[in-house]
This record gives sequence, structure tokens and C-alpha cells, in this order.
Amino acid sequence: MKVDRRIAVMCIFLLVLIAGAGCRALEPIGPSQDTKVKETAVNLKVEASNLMAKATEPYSQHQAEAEKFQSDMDKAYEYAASIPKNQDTAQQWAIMKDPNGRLMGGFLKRWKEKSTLSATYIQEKQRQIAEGFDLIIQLEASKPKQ
Amino acid sequence: MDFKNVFDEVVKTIKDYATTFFKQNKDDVVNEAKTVLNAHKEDIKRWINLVSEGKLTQDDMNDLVGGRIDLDKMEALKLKGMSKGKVDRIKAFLIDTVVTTIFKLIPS
Repeated sequence: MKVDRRIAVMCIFLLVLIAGAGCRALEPIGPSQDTKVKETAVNLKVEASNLMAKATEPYSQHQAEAEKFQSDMDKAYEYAASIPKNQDTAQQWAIMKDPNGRLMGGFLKRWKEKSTLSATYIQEKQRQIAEGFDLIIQLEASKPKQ
Repeated sequence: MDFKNVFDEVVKTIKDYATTFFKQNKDDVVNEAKTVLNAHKEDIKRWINLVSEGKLTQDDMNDLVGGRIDLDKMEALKLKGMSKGKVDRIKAFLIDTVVTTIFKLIPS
């Protein structure tokens, strides 16, 4: 449709005015998708299941591996927390890694305290930990791509 | 012991607790407890069987229920984050529409 030049200029002026006024409101309220966060969660999900399967054996035999895993989760949390407006994902990592919580950090602490854990308990806990990592992955995947 | 016994007993305890500490929102607290129990019915049923068979201790059960609560917190964070993503997509669409409209209105 042909539009008169004056009307077009007025429309542009109005649109720029609206866009300008709404500039702050148009700032994204959440972060963009971060491939590193997603990849880390996928890798740690697999590693967690493998490590947990060893918890029928004494913790002392796997101490180095368990401590490395805790350190990897701490790094994942620090990375997520360093991304602006990413507090929801950072909080998810905080819950997952918390040694006083009931997910992976808590599992490692419990293993250390009890030395060995029962196969049935480990199996039930593996379900929960896998679900926790899935929740981190799903949130990351839902963010807009850059 | 089955799920119904556990459900009834937990609801009764929560009701007493809510009556003492949440007088104003007693019904909300009880309904929330019922929702949580029903949402995790399958897990709880399986754990009841494993406890009955002596394969899970009270300490294990305590940890698993605590884990379920931690997962619910993570789920809530996921839903909160996802709604932000939706708002951002709408904003991106609005910016794109403004730019497209401006260029469409400029006579070539």
C-alpha cells in the first residue's frame, strides 16, 4: 500500500518515540541460553549416576573422585551465578550442590559420613539426582537463543 | 501400611499443625499438603513398599522425602525462569515488529 510521505514520517516519528520510551521496558528480563551451562549439566548428570553407583563401596576408595565432583558442581554454580539475570539457574545449582541439602551435595556428604550406602537407596537417589539435572537442562533450553 | 494410611495420617498431622500455626490460612496449608502428597504418590508408594521390605531405613526415607522437597524448589525455579523467557520472546517480537513496520512504511 502506498503511503503519503508525510504520514510515513509521522508514523516513524511515533514509532521511534514509543520504542524510545519503552526502551528500558524492552530490556530482556532473563539471560540468553548458555551452551556451557547446558553441556555442563548434561555431563555432570551422567557422571553423577556413575559415581553414585560406586557408593556401595567405601567412600575412602573414591574420595578423590567425589571431591572432584563436588568441585565441578561448585564451579558450575559460580559460572551460572556470574551470568547477569541468571539467578534462577544459579539457585538451582545451589540446591543441587549444597552439602547440607538432599540432592547431590548431600548425597556425597552422606556417603562420606556413612562410608557405604545401600544399593536400594542409591537407586532411588539416582532417580532424584537425574531429575534435578534435567530441571537445570530444561530451564536452560527454554531461554531465548542469542 | 499403604498410601491411604500414610496420606490420612499426614493430612491429620498437618491439619493439627496448621490449626496451631496458620489459623488464617489453615485450609490453604492442608490443601497444599494434599496436592504435594498426590503429586508424589508413586514415589511414596514405592518407598512404603521398600521400607516394608526392610530395604530402606527411616534415615533413607527422611533423605528421600527431603530430596523430593528440594526437587520441588528446583521445579518452581524452572517455571519462574521459563516465564521470564516467554516475556523476553514477546519483547523480541515487539522490537522486530517495530523495526519491520518502520521499514515497511518508508516509501521506496
